[in-house]
Amino acid sequence: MNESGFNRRQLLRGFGVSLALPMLARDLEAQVASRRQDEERPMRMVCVANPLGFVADEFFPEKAGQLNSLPRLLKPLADHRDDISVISNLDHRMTGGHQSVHTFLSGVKNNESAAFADRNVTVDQIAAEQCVGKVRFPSIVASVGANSGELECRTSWTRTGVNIPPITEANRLFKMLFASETKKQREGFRKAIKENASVLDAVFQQANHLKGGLGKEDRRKIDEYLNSVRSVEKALANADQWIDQPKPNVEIEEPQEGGPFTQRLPLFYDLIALALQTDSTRVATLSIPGNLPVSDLGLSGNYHAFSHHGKTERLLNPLLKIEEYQIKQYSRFVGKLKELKTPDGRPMLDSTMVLCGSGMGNASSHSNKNLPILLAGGGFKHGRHIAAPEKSHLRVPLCNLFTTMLQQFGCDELEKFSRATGAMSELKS
Amino acid sequence: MLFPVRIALVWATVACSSIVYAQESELGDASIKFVQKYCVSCHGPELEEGDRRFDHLVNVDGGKNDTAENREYWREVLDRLNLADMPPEDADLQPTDEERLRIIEILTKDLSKKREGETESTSVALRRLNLDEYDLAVRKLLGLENMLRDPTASFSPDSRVDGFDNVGQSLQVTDFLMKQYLKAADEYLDAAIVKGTALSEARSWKFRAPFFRERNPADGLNEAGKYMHIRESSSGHGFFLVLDELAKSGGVPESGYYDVRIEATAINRKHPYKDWIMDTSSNDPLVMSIVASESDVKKPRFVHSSDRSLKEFEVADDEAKWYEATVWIDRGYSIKLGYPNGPRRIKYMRHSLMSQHRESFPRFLTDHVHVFHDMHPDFDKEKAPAMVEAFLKQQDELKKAGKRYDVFGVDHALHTDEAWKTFYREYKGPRIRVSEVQLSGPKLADPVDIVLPLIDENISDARAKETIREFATRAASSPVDEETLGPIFGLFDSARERTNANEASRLAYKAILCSPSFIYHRNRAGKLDDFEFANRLSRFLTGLPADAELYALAESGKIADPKMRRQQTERLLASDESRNFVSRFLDSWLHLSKLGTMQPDENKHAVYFNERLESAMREETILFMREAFAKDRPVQWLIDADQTFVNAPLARLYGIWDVEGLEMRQVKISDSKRGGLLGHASVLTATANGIDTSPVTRGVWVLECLLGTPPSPPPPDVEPLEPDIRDAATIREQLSKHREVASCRHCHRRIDPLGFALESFDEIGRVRNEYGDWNEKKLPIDTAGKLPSGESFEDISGLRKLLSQQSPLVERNFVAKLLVQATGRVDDLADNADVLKIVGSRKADAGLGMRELIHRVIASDAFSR
Repeated sequence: MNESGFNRRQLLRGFGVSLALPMLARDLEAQVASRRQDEERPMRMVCVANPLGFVADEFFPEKAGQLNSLPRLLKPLADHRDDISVISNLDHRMTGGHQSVHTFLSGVKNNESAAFADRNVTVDQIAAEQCVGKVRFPSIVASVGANSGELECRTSWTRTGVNIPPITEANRLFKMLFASETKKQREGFRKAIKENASVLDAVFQQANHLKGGLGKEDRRKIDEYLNSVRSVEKALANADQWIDQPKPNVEIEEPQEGGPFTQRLPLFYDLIALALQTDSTRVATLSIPGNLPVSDLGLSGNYHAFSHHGKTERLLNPLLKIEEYQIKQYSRFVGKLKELKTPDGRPMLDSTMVLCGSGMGNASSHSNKNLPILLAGGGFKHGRHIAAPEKSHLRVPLCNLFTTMLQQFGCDELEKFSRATGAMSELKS
Repeated sequence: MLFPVRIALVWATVACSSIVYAQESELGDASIKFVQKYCVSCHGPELEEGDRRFDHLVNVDGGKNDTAENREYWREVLDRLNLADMPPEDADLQPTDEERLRIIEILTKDLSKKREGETESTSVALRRLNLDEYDLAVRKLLGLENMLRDPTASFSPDSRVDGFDNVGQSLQVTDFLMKQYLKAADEYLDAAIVKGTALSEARSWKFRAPFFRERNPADGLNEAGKYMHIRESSSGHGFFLVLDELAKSGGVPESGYYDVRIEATAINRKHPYKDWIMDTSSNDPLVMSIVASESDVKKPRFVHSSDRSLKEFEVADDEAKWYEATVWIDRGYSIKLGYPNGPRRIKYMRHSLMSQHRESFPRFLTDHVHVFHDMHPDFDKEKAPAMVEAFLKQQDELKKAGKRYDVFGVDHALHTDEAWKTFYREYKGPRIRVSEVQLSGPKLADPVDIVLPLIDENISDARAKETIREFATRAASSPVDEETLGPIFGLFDSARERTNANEASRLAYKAILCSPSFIYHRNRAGKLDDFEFANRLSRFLTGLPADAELYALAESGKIADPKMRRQQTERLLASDESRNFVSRFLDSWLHLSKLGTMQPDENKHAVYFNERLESAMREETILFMREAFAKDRPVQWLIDADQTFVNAPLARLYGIWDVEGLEMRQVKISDSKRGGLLGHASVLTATANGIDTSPVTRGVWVLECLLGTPPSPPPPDVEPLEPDIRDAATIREQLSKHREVASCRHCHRRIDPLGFALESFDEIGRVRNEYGDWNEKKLPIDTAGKLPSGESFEDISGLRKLLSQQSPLVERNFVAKLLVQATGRVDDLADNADVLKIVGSRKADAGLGMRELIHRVIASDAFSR
């Protein structure tokens, strides 16, 4: 909190309340245009996560090296074996079972994140920062349905240690991405943005005034409030720039609310593919919920209960069916990106890294070790099972993989993401 | 937890309280000696059993021992002595009962003292309203209590700490939430302003069959102009009877109260089929529900997220009657009718009917079921595949020849409209016959005075500002100062440059709804002032901010009078809104919020869904607690109550056969396995995962929620066991494997026995005597166990007797949890001391009523911090 109220108010007038807005918009447009010229082949990143992992025996190939014979869970990826890598023995050295699944993309537990400068920010959000101003949505965070409790999808986190609530309904995602607005609606938005900016200005002042009389802990709380106000102001400013840019026309109808899981998962993948294709976003994160309705897959029981299989067939078989289904859909998505072409005529997959995995290594024993990791596309060298060292003193942090992904994404200055000790050179050709 | 430094201190010689302690230092010495003698040999630097070291508690070299951290360890010593489960029975050296009781007395007394400098709470004062509190407060402020729309629907759920969703530290304000505040404020204000301006005339509607256009109109049962039927449950997928005409005209034109009249008849409650096939009980009346839902929903016959159940009726058998209700309907909402306890899975049902009641469906079987389908009487498993082949070939030829054909698979014929029509003609299952629906209204509620200025177009700036001040005061439920109002007036003034006073006021209202003075319980630290007290009291017991009466008492200062506080507490507890308190408290304290998050298997426990057991279970526990508070029953009642509340479906789950109807009523329990909270299906379901029961989860629940002595989480360096249950037959045997591992043993010998006793109940709380479904191998259940204190029991009734001797612990835990519910603070040292002070080590007072405990919590220092 170093800025004085006066400066801040001037800044605010700059975008929300007075007439300085067009200036700022022009500024940003110019910036966007110049950036677009810079990057001929933008990189994209999609991360898919489930809360219960994949059964390791059926997921990791027995041997490292070429993907010749595929284990049961990877069979659906047979057509794409040259475009994927399976990586074993990576993790965040976490314990805690379900309570640590949310560290999948960050390597840091939320309740321990105060010790880190960037809290428990996730890999997708670092990538998203690269896209601010270049695309309408710096990132899309979605989940195929909502759930709560221990199996809640908390996959994406901001630099301030805040969980990004996922969009859980396909129709909402569709509207956000593609529903076109009338001129009147756009004017309404603009008015609402201005209005909200002025409201935020007022509450900011009120909160700032409270600060004086509070102790240390409470001052942290009021800072939390002030920072939230500031973030929303920034987001409003960003949204303001895009109001007049028409949303892309797509040839799919607005989806219905609800529907069985077997329709929703492919639909979310399709919407993400469309979002990438139309360059509405370049970063997307999709979570599979822990309360996945298994009856939609013709099973009776409960995903979480199956995951505590204790190696009995009665539970293991339905679990494998659920996992197989997820891999099939992942495979379908990878296939789709292969077919789609970027403006330079190359497969979209070449410039899209698609991660699939989980913060849970073995749900039956609540272990967060040896996480299941699949990576497709993104211009990496694929077609192998990369087995990182198993021995405890030689283990490679999963954050090393994330570092490599971010470097590939264009974060040139990034040396180490979160708890990384380096990068994963095996993926570079 | 690890000890960063070895702190050598004298336990009882605290400088600040040396006068009081003159005598007690000796008592302190006694507890030090006790720990040295009985605990340190295992919990010392050599063994560190259970990851605990108590040697630093006894290393007295003249320094200061009485640190906050050490007191946490002393508290654990106290807990374990209370439970008598330490020292373990295999220890050589055992204290006498007399010794144990004396140390308990000393520690209780000492730990209930507050230390200087620790009276200030370390927790945050700036605690934001949680989702419920926020929604309740805005609705009350704007007079929108009845509104069906939920502007908070897209808010993220609040995170829970130890089960509580009101803990200040973890209730963050984030940019996502801030955006949602902005959006929700608009929605609430829009609803309130429309409500105020609406002056439209009341009108009435009359709807007759057909109420909607059916895809399959001629099932021979519905008759245009006379009636239509609801044949299936509206839960699950849902088949509502919708009013096309109302929905197409955009629903009701204004929000308000509407009179609804429905002429309906229950048909075939006593149907000719076996009950299990129908998945409904022919003992229960058919229920008809009025459900409101947005009128522009694309498939209104199905369940939609905007559905709100407004009213339910038990429909009389075979006799057309009018059912009437006055309900609130939002503008743009339509109503539809459902049959929530009707058959849910009609395809399964039909399948079963064909094997169990084949003779009743001759036409369906002849006309629509192929002989190679297993529904057919002549189905032959051996020959079927060849016949299927032949059939498909034949259809293919028909297709080529340009004739009528069916190549959509062998099941297709069963699912055509024609097939269902034939089936329903022969089907004699239960259904609700609806003959007419009447609707009239709206009867508008009085607009809230605070909203009126938003409607008055000629309002002066001065009057507008006055109202803004009034609004801000009511929103904060406390007087607001000029500094707080300044930015709001500033907003009004600058908006006035562009727009009229109405619009500018609206903006100011919106800002107030997003401002710190509204979204936080209080805006300053320190002891509560009278207004803050009134609000905390009210929010604690009703979920709502202080009402006019409490506000006036705060204004006059009368609320400071203990007698007045008592009187107000009684008033709030007796109010309808105290249901909010009980239900929220149970969600947090007993973790009932988990109920419904892991649903049981639909096939195995169809009754759970059809007979709507989940809501009955929840209701049972709410009514049980409300009655306990009303009758001021002691905490002992939580363990061994011999009464509870049930309706017919829940009674059947409990094996009580003489209860009829869906209303909850109080019953006496005769089954020795039931009694107290441990027999409540809500608790037993919330502590299972819907599929299996786990003695560990339930055991931990008893330790945590009832006794308040939770086990520590597994030590971080221990890799969890990889369960391999292929050979171990029962869960008990799996766990005994688990207990063979040394690092697990210490906690699991406390946890598992409690859970074993509860294995008498399955995953939805039904009594069972063996494991295994009807199609599985049966295995016996062994419910016997031995507590670490050495006492053993045969089953749950034995355990219940042992637990009821622990009522001091139960009481302490109950008080501690009440205090968390009231203050939103957890793990607060000063609070812990106050809890011990409230319950004390009194013998005379033992068995204090639970309402009295609420009074004591409210009278405590902790409540006013």
